[in-house]
Amino acid sequence: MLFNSFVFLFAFLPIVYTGFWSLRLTSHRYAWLTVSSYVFYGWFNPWYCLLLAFSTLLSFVAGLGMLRFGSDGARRWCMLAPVAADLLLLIFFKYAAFLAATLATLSAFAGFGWHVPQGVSVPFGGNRYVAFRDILLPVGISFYTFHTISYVIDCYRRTVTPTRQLLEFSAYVSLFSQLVAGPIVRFRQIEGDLGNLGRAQRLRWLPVGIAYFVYGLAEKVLVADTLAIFVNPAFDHIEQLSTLGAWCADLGYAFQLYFDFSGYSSMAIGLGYAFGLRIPINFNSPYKALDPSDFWRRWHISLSACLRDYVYIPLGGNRDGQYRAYGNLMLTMLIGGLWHGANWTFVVWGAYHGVLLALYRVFRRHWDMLPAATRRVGTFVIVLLGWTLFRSASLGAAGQMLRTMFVPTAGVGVSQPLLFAVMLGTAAFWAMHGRNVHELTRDFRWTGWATLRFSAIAGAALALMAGDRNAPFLYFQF
Amino acid sequence: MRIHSGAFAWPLGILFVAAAGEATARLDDWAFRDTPLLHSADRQHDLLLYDRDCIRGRPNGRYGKFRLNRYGFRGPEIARVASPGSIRIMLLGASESFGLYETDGKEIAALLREHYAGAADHVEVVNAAVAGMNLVSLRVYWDHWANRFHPDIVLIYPSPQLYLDDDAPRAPAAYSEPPVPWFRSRFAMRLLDAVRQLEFVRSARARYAVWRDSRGRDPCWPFRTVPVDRLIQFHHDLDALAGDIAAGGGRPVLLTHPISAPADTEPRDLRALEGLRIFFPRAGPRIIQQFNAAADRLTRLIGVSHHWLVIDIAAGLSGRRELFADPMHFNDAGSAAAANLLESNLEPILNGTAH
Repeated sequence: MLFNSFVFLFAFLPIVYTGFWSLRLTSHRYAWLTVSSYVFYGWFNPWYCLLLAFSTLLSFVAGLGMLRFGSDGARRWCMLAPVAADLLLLIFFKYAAFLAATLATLSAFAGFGWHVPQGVSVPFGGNRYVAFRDILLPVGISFYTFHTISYVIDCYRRTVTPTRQLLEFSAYVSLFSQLVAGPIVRFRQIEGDLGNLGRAQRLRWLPVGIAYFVYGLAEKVLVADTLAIFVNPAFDHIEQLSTLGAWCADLGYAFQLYFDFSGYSSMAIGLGYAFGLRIPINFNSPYKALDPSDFWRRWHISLSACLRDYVYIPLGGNRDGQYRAYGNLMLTMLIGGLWHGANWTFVVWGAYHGVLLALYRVFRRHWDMLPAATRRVGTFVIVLLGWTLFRSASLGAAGQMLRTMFVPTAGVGVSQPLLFAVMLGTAAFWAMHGRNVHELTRDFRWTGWATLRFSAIAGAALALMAGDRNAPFLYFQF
Repeated sequence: MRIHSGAFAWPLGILFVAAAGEATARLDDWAFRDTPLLHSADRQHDLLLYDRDCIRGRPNGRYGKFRLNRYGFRGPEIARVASPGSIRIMLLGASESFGLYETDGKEIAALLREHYAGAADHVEVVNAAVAGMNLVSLRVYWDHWANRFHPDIVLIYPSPQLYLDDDAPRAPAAYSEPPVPWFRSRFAMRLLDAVRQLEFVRSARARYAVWRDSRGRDPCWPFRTVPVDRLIQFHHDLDALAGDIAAGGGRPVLLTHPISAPADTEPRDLRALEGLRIFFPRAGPRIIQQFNAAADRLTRLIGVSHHWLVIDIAAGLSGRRELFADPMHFNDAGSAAAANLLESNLEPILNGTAH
């Protein structure tokens, strides 16, 4: 079920919202949110719910174990077991085909003669053989795995006290607003609001929630999905593009991706507010960043923070000298790249950002002396080049796109160039100069003009959604 | 006046939703689909022309992703007569051939056109299909309009399910254009289309259609077995249409009709086939499947008896659910698979027809 679908907007959400606020007890509200979230998740594929339930139960029991056992050894096992299980599930569903294919290629290339299995026999359903490439990636597994792993590690570090309420924990892990594409909310960030769920007041956060949701809808439907009309055909026929066409497609994609994911995050935050849960922000005008480090403080903030806290710092951070710090940075960004998908394009994209961050550390003093406008444009351009890798289906396609961008090539441009220019200009102005959704909703007061403004945005978004402009969110694939 | 207070807020808000929705729908149609901003006709008027002799595509018709050329055919502009030395292939049929669910440019005719674009002998593909056309209407359409374009090869892709309507198909005495409304909300039409796509709405509408149409009827009104009279008519109409084409100098090629679930019916297939009762309330899922299979057999028989080529796309594609957007219509993948089959089967006769 998509946030920008009619079933969600006019059936699921009104039912869940009404049911939630008609319940009084905290435990009832937890239960209601959990059941609703499983319905939401099961809409994609009911079998996925089993994985979600398994991951939830395992982490919950591990948390209880940490409460029960005092010794460090036992607590460590309580941490390691669910983390290993979650990671194995993630590896199996997301990376098995990639790993098997890579190993097979490596073996053939080096002449090792390894027999690398490309599938598994499934014991049920008549002992069927299933190829790794045919295994469907459960939607959102990368996100909820982060939720459960972060909870278990935080419990182990004693940053949070493990909850004794299964319903509270399952409501946290499965919360439909952030289940399939984030933001990655850590238990400690939402624990207070979850604890007070029974005393939450319906109208206190509702106006802000509506504002977030409607602006998010505008980002997604009006901007991102409209840009997709120009960008997708261009990336589908990279070989036909001219140099100008390739730059246009890449620029369009940069803004499509931002508004798509930022729109989803804004809607998720808005939904959270509607249920009395304050979900932290995930984007803070990333294209206004002045350097690569600043970019990662503004782009997918919840992922950057998780990578910092659960990968970079445990690796040693910058405590063991600068060269070790560069290595840690590289490794963290490689993992971050790989987290996005089982493809070499994401690995190289992660490495590219690792190199950028390391280079920035080396040349920081010189870079920071440049005028702010130059730094902003420079940062945008290097991030833009990275998106070519991110969007391309293979390294070969990315190479071809980059070659077309830098070697003058004759070919076709994007369709309807004037319309594209208007859309791109609008998107660029909003992303690089305008106020982002958090700034727009800060100190928000519901006035008559707000009613009219949101009505107009909602009407426009509905018209486009009904006209087949309701594409899935780009981050669902991760 | 505080417009957010009390009685004004909701009506004004709803008014703004409607106004913004209408403006956006029209701007979107204008920007991406070349539809005039103030155009108020509905889908039927946008795409269909009821002239004196037949129903055909409206010249330069526009609706949603569909764009018709000056002769009312979906696709690029063509000359009335194919250029000397080239071969013109015409696809004749209903919505399955017209292409309902495929991305624009991914419908069967467009894919064939793309395939032949690089061919040494120039091959032109015309999508002359019109949604909702049964073979009786197609015959009238061919005789009065489509034959004027002198195709060398005519692919006939019949829709057997149209023979399961309440009444047997028959050619109307005269076609007359329904009145064009002075205003029709494009926003409302979009919303209505989107809501109708929802599975539970489709199923509810089908149940309602069965209830409405069977009220006060004879208990024998729903088809209990395959209606033989309709099959005989299907045979006669297909034979007559292909005969007319052959008599006019064209080469008819018959296509069988693949469906997503030809026999082994899972609950989801059953739901999808039940959904068709909006259009054919008398025919349940089994009847649709059996009728389709029988019609395909007749199509093969007609081909054999007249030595007309039959391309059995049903044999290759029926039952492959991943190729269908609904029980009868292809999605992009299905359309590509069908186009591939047509290309490989047409190759021998194209080589023989090359001027």
